Amino acid sequence: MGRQRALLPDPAGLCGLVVFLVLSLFSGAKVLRDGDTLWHIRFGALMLEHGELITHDSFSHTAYGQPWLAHEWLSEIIMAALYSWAGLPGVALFYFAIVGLTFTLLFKIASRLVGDGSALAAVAIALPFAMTHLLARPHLFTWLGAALTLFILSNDNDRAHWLLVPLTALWANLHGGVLFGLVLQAIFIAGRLIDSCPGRSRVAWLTWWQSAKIPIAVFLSSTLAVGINPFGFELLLFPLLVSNKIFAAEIGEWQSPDFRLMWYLRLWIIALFLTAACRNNLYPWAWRLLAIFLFWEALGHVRHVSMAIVLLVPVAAISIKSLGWRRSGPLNSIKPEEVQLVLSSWSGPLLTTVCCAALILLFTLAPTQWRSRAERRFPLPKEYSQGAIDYLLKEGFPGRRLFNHYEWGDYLLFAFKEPPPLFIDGRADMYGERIFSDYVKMIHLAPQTDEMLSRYGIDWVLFPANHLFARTLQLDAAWKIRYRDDHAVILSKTVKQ
Amino acid sequence: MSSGLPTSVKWAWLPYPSGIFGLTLLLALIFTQGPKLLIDGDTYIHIRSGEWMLDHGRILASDIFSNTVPGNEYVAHEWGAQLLMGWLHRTGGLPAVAIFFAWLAAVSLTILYRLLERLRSPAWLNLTAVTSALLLAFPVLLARPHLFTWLFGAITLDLLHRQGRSRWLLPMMMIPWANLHGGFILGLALQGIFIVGKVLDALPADGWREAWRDRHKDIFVLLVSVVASFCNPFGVASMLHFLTVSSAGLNRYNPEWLPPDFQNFWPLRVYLAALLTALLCARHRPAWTSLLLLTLFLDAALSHRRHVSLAVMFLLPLWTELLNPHLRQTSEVTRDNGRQLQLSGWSGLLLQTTILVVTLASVPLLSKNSPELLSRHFPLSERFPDKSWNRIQNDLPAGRMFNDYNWGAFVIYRTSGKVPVFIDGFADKYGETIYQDYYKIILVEKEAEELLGKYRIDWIFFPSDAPLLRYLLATGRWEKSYRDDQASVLTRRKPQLPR
Repeated sequence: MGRQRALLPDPAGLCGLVVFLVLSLFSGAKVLRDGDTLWHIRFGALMLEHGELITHDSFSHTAYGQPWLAHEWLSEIIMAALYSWAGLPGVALFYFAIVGLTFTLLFKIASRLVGDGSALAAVAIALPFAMTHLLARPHLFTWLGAALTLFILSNDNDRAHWLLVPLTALWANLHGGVLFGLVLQAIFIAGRLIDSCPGRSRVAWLTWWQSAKIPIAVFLSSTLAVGINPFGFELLLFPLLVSNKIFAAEIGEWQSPDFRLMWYLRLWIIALFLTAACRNNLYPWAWRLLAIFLFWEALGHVRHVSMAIVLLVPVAAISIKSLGWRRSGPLNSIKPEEVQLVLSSWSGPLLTTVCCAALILLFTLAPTQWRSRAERRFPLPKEYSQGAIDYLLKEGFPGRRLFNHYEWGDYLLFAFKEPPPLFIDGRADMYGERIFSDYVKMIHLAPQTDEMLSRYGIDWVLFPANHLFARTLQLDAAWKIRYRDDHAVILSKTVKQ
Repeated sequence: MSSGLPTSVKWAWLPYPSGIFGLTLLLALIFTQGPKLLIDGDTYIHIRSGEWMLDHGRILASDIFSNTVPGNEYVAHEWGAQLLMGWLHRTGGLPAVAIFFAWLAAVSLTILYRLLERLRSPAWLNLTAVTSALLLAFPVLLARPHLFTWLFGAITLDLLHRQGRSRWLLPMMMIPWANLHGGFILGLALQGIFIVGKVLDALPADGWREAWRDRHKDIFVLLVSVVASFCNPFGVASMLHFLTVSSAGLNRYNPEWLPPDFQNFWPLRVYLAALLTALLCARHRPAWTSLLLLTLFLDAALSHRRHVSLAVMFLLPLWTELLNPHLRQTSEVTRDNGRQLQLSGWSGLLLQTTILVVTLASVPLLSKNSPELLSRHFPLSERFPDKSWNRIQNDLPAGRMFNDYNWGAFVIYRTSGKVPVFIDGFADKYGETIYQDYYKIILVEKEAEELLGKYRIDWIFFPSDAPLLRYLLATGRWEKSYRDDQASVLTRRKPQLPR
């Protein structure tokens, strides 16, 4: 049968399409629950408007003028463009497509290693884990970038590895997780070297070196390609900055996972250990090293759990196959030569992309009434009080220096064309350790809270209504309630007579 | 010796490396880790409970220390340990308690080390593995009854590896264990795992029936052990109590029941990554017993940081099993210039026990001649507001006190229970409602003040930097009557009478 007739998507493509459709139908609210999405859109819009990158802060009264490394500038521009066309649903749908394509690639890798049945089971296990950090934010580009890197690295054709260099350059402008791509390359080089470790023969050593030459050259070129971004190699320092101890202790996504709540992760780790012990002979060394590295990362930060489990789909598939599941699976019972249908490896990803583009277009062109009805499936968290925003729009800001909740900073940037000067927002790395730790001390009512509020000249506060900090200030005669609803309270400092 | 030494061991007195390790550990703990051993509040409640039992000649199984649950009965599953701690405290004060628990830790690790020696792994591997286990268990190396579970758990593991007639010691051991610490359930779990593991290992060759038949004696020993574990003043309730203590409602905030924080406790992260690497590199699949132990302890360690110590200690044989095939097998007997040294497995333990007896005997003498030396090496936990209490003790406010969870033990210890506390470290005694109300108050949830009213609290003894104090002062219904850097006292303002 001629290849030109192949239109039906292969199982990997179909899997990606299904993932995209399922997420689009059921995960609209979840994907927008994080405030970072909002400030990314805002800064992207500003960059589009002014036609230049933002390199300094101009929105806070605490870090005004401070240099800022907008390392995700390209993602932000894409997000802002999507938002201007199709609103928040457009941004969410775009990221769902990214996740769909990620799963397509991982399915393909797993399928190449152990067949479709085990690959499908591994994807089915990984998808619920992916939900733990599935947010409309640029880190999803790292999922896709890492999956692409794995796809290329697991390909026997060494020449294809050169594709990693442009991929790395693009990735470096989308998300700081580009370093992860370099680690993956290093892992595969190490794995290859261990797998083919020569004995004492000199010829064997030469062959061994020959086999590693291209991957090492690609790795070095990719390292240089990381520098192709507006901030150069400064980008490499960024992960160290954001995983700083104070941020890791106080920002939920950087904390160590709580294994009592994430009991499913506990089960996954136990399964990983047991399968590693039972069937280690099936793991090539690259996959073993990858499992160790991703396990290490998942233990350190909650935000890495989903990525670790998603990227370990091929390892999970190897384990599932080794348990003997392959014999009973309908997909695996078909031998390649018996396949009647000619399947396309391109039509699945293409269909996912087309579906995503069509839906975004629909949102763009739909009448306002339809659009707002559809937007209800992609709501912002209720905690962002529209009432408080309406009050501020009508009455103006009741002071000059605001003390705001961390998450609310993002929302204020998004909701106002000219937001009030903020105390803090989701760009913790820009604010730095001192401002962030002062913020943490104040919201925990440390003994020096009053002194710090004075030092920063705070004269009004916008905070979640039930937060301890807001409730305490409401009892204080020095503060007057200007607005209050179930979700937010606005206070201003009373003028001393 | 049952290890099949090639020559007679009649004159053997030199200790194995395991004995020397235990001896070194004991001395290091006694001379350098006194404050660490005594840092936890529970130690002090156990001591006072034990002293009460010595005074009254009966088991303390109802509350005498609190203003929230006075007279409430509870399962005092550690009564034996409390009695011993009370007696040690009467004999030699806090130093005696700390020294005894240091000895328990040293002996437990000696037994596990000796087990590794018998499994014939190289000396450097044994030393590395046991030292790593010690470092990872160190955060919970405290003068508290759970160290009895270290000891009895280590003996159980040793006996289960030996098999033979020595397994009959297991039921006998369950009787003291069930009266010393609630962890005795681990002993039963270990026996169960060894039975199932051996059946699974034998299954491919022998089939189900044969595999089970070979384990009949082990099953009988397990059943006798279960019956023996009921030989405590609370019977079956003591076993079921385990479920209460580990319930989510009671350990939601308690640090030792929280999952490990892999950022701060990074050595555990390294340990688990190393274990995964060892499993991925293993030449043979480990025995089913080891895999079942791995499942149990991995789950326990990831769920609660207090179980990390058990995991790293009881997974020691697994390391040997994984790494031994990669390493050259070594002889059990150390050679010295071609002559065989006769080593003893008992002399190390005997020496440690001698040191225990000698130091315990010298504590009363030292406390008479140089009390400063003892109090410097074995001080009251530095977490406690001892200086603050000294200043306020003669002028304590009247009425019911609300206190910090960790300071409850301190107040009980300092006042011998004369000032009733709101809560102390025995969360299970207070039950889920009071425990959760306590946290609602200290986290200043909306109903915090209402709850203080519900419990008719008149004064608060709390760390000065707590948000609760700042909030209560802002309400205007509480006033500060004492404050220093560590502790503050707030008292409820009397309502103004209408004129």
